[in-house]
Amino acid sequence: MLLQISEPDNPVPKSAPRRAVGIDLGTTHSLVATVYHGVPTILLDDRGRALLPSVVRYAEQNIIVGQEALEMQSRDPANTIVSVKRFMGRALTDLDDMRQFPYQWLDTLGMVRLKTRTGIKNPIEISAEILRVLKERAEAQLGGVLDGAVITVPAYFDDAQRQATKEAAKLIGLDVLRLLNEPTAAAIAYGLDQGTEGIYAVYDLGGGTFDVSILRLSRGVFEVLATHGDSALGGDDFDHRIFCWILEMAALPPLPAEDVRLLLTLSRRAKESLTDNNSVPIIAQLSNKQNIDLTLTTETFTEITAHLIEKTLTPIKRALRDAKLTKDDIQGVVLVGGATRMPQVRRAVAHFFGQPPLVNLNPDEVVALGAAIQANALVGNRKNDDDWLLLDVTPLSLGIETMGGLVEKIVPRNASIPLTKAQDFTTFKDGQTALAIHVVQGERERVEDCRSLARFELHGIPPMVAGAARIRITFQIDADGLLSVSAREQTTSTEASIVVKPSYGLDEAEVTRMLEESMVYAHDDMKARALAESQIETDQLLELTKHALKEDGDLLSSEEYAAIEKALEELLHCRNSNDVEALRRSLAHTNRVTSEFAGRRMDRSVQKALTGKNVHNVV
Amino acid sequence: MRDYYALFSLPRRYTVEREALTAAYHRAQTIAHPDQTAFADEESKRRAINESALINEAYHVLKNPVSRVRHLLQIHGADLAQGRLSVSFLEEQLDAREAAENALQNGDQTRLNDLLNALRRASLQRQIRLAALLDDEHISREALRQAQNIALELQFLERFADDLDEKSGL
Repeated sequence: MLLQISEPDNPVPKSAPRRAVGIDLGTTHSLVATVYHGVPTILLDDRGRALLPSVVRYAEQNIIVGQEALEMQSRDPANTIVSVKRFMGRALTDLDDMRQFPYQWLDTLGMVRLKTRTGIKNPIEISAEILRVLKERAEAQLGGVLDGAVITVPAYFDDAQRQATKEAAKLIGLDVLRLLNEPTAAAIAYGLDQGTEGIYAVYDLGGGTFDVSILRLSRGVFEVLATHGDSALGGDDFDHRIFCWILEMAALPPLPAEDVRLLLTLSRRAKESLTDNNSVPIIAQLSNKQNIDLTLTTETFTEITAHLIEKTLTPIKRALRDAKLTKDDIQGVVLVGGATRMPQVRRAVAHFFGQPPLVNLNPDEVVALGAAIQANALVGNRKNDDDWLLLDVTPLSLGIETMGGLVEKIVPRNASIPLTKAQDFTTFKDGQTALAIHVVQGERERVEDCRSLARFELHGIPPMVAGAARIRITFQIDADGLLSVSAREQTTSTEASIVVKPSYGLDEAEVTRMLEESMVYAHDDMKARALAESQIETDQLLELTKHALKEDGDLLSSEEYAAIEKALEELLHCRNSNDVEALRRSLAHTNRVTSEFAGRRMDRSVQKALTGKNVHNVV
Repeated sequence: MRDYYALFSLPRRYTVEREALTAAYHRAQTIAHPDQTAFADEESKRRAINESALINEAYHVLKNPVSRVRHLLQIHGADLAQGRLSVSFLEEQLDAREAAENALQNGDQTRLNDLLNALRRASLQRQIRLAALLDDEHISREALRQAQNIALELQFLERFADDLDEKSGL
């Protein structure tokens, strides 16, 4: 039994307990749990399944969510949305990997939108479909409408992503009692179950995000001391490593979308199989009838994923430093997320902390269970002597733009929430009645190196001489980690209130990048930049060469034409693999293959120019 | 201004028992935290956020040795900003900064650790002196004046140590 919230012989409370659930809205799968007769319990679907794959398919007649949608993803990729969590609160410009998704993106400002056969959808609506299924599952089993839900989010989620999550729930009429950080939820489930005291680390490696939180548990208080993360890191990356290994071993050319999906699925299964086996066969037939027959051993898998595991250790070190602790202060390490089933992850964590991690709760379920426990407490179902308290932090520093494009920090990262911070501003011109404020998130000193969270203007400042007005702007982060801003002119008490509604949020990968850059952490940083630069170079080369082929393809023999096309195909494939070395090789190769072509084009332009035709083509 | 010592019912002195502070903080949040009003009306929720935020602020001010002395000086009508740094202290710090820059550039971890430890020792010495000056119930103007100067040194040392810690750690 997980947790005894009410005594068995306790009389039934006068009012019926309220129906409250905890929802883990995950990248790859989602769950719903409740506290039933004092016991946190995962609610199963009518076929006995706990995990709902976070997949939404817009079919001809209806919307299909879960396993049935997942099974259709390679046949109907454009209308079957997987990993929608990665798009929450994100603009198209935030998704540098948008090409790897088989969706029809719309070129709009603000949050991404994609075109399906039943119309244009945004990530909030798509997530809402997942929530709807979980809500209906819970209501069917609890026998009535839900009074509220606690929904979990990665600790590293920013304002836009949190806001989007809350709106998805609102869309289906689900009252959000609290947005709860995933590692904190896990700590609640563990702490209350095991009656633990002391300082604990939660290592949460999900499908697409990594969080680490350091918490102090004492006499029913769960106090988060620091949290860090790498939000572009999860189980998906391990699948992708196997996928790349297959491509390399079988010497495969660029593959059509359905073959990519097939091999990715096989990669995920191989990863899961290696948790209990020393080797796993990978057998497939591709759409061109080519057969794949490989064997992946634990040793090879460990080797090709070592750098991913290494990447999780840096956020741990930073969280420890922000908490002013060392790893010797940690009494226990809780593993959360399906990806922590991998033996090499457990070994690495055990090695780093010098102790075996705690794995007595199911890493897939522990977040939903913790959320259910908190939901139960928030609606007032617990008794007074079961009182416990949860104190969390905000993951990123908050600042505002000042003169010269510099950031003035208003709230440091890992500050306890809720929090209120007031800052006074004044006007710099006589009679100035408006003031523009730019709020940013990040650890760097320059605005351009941080991410813009919101811009807003204050109007209605009474006209005064420059410097006379005293405008107090109050920033508040509530217990959900959501920011709101209000402003008041102090000398006349003119009040203006602004709710920050960011058009798009911070890209999590960028958060990590910014943190790394700000901490003189050169190595990884340089690699990431090298990749980004090579990708930009690739995009330009692809664009230019395609254009050139169209314009001047007649300068090439059919063999030469084919060779260039093949090089471009390979280049595009490498561009999306995130392997900077392979990309550089491919870039060099493409440059070699196209250099003769470029020479001939130049000759043609010069000739044209000399004969007075198309002069501007040379420019 | 709000007296954070009063908020937590703690004796108004520089030395604050860490355990007593944490216990008072947890007690206060158990009552005020928005989790207690998650199912209540909007007005109660709003009040809870403000109250809980104030308690967080108070806790962090009293926990940190620099913000705590700044707060205590303010309560007594003094101001850390009015403190003066001696020339010898500034000279010492400039030398230490230069040594730190060199050690950072050369990746000399041993030297950095030595410097950090020296900073922490210097910081602790200031804290002990502040306790001697500011732990009494009645504090003389002369004690406040001295405390302002020491507090300013403490702030300097702590900022330097944080900066170095962040740069050298990872």
